[in-house]
Amino acid sequence: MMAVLGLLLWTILMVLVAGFCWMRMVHHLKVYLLILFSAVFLTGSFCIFPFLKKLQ
Amino acid sequence: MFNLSLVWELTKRDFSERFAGSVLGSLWALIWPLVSLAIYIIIFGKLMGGRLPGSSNIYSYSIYVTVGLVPWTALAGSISRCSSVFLDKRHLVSKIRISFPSLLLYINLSETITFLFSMSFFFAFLLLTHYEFNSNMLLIPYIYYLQQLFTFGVGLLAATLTVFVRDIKEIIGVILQFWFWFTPIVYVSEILPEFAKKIMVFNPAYVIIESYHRIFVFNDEPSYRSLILLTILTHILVLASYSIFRALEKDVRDFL
Repeated sequence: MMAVLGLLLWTILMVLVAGFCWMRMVHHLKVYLLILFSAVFLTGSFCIFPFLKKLQ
Repeated sequence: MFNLSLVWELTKRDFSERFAGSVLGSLWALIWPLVSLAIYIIIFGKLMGGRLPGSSNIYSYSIYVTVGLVPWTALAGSISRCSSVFLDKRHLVSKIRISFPSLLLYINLSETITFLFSMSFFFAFLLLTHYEFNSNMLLIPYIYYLQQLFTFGVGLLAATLTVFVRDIKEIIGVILQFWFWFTPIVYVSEILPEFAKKIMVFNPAYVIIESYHRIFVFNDEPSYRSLILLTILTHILVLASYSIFRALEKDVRDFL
């Protein structure tokens, strides 16, 4: 349960932060920022989920 | 950059054009995944009697094939269609100022909708067969996102280069054929010779399909190390593809 909640919270947090930055950034940098966020988001997801599962 | 309303409009049109003139229309978008799923289950599981080594479940091979073929169809379909999307949509590009990556996004979205239909039917089948679901299934959207991001990177690079070298579209088709048979989708990786197993880890499709197999068939966790490595490589690929596209964007518009 903790792993599921942790992953969902991480997803919501990253979507909100990425959305906020997307609206604030200037045109050509947006895509590079999105790629960076996407990399952090996915890497984080694949780290958080097994980590929290082990903690359970 | 990405015109989301345009992406959605192109996706809707993709479905309506694909089945234009037919009596059932867009319903075919639901029927096709259902037919494919029925083939995987009935032909592979029942008629051919396929079994996985060490498993007595009569549906284990059907599940193995389905969770391999459904994502593969999305992956191969996205790459194949993306590779020629700039040429296919040149009539649109010449009329309105359109962002090129949006064209790839609509293909990804269209394939995702088909994937979702297929997976919905598949989950219904699993429910009917009293399949035991596990928490690792929560990772499916993340693995699928990684997969489609990978196709976006390959597709953007291929679409850009296809404008200058038309043969790339055909070469992609040939590569996809080899790639399909080099990835354990309809067979298990254990039957491969040692040297093939060693180079298999460099196959991105293997990492993705193997993750689905581990979660659905073996009730196991995917290899997080492989997924993280693929995540990093995929983002480098997307970054490189986008940079190449940006550098050639003006020429792409001129050539079209």
